Amino acid sequence: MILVLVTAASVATAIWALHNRVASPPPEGQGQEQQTEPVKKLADSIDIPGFGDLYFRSGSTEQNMTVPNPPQNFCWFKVSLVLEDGTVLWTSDLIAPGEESGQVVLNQLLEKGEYKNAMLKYECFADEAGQSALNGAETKLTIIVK
Amino acid sequence: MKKFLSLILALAMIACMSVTAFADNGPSGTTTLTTTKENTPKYTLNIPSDQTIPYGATETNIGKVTVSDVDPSVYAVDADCAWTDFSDGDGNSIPLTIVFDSYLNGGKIHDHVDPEMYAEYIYRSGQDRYCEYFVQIAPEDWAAAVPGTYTAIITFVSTYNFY
Repeated sequence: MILVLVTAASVATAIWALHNRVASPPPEGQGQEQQTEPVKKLADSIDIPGFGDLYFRSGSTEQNMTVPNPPQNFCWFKVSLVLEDGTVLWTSDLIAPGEESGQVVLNQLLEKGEYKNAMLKYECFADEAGQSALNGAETKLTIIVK
Repeated sequence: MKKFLSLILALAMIACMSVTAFADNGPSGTTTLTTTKENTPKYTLNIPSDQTIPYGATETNIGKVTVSDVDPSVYAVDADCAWTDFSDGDGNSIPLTIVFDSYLNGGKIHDHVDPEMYAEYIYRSGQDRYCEYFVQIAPEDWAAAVPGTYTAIITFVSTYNFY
């Protein structure tokens, strides 16, 4: 008799578990849009993205790279990619905080090889028109063309 | 009777365990894997944006240069800087010099160093480092300046080292 009761209880539990698995609501937060906290703006400093070695394709001026302006910045960026000899390979339009440049399209094709002591030159402006210059930065890097 | 009960118990156990297993038993097929590598930032350099220098000040702290959000592949980042003289845009200028103090794990390790002569680490793996920069203007240069508003631009230069 006890075995019969245990068996009946097991079957009932199994049926309840199956039913509940389907009917239970999703965990909290799933199925809803994520709430993003507002970005705290920097007041008197600028965050500059520092790139490492850049890997470019030979035989193409279009490269798989964009340059972001971090959302916490209050200033606009104008960014140039410059070789050690001063050759300017690419210059961005003004990049607003929280946005990124268009895809890097070089002014010229690069031969395969390593280009050491190149740099990304960041000019920073307090206004959208690019008239009020702030301090800037140059982040040195190596371009590796394959 | 025991055999019947055993069968019922076994069916109950299977019903509890195997819902997701049923769903995966579809026909076999192929999967295409796709990956994209982009050139992305490996660290963030934080620099002072701008500062008003009080008239007559011979030395003004203009803020820190630090590094954050460092990719584990980066071992160290050093910094130096270059700058322009103060200019009023009308041919008049006031010369300035810049020096920095560097800090390691909360203690000052270099005092008023010329950044044109020495690039200092502002990040090394496992260490807390930063530099603090100062603008210096000599009293005689203040005295000789034509009245007006002058601006100068500092360009901070960073170089990384990878493992």
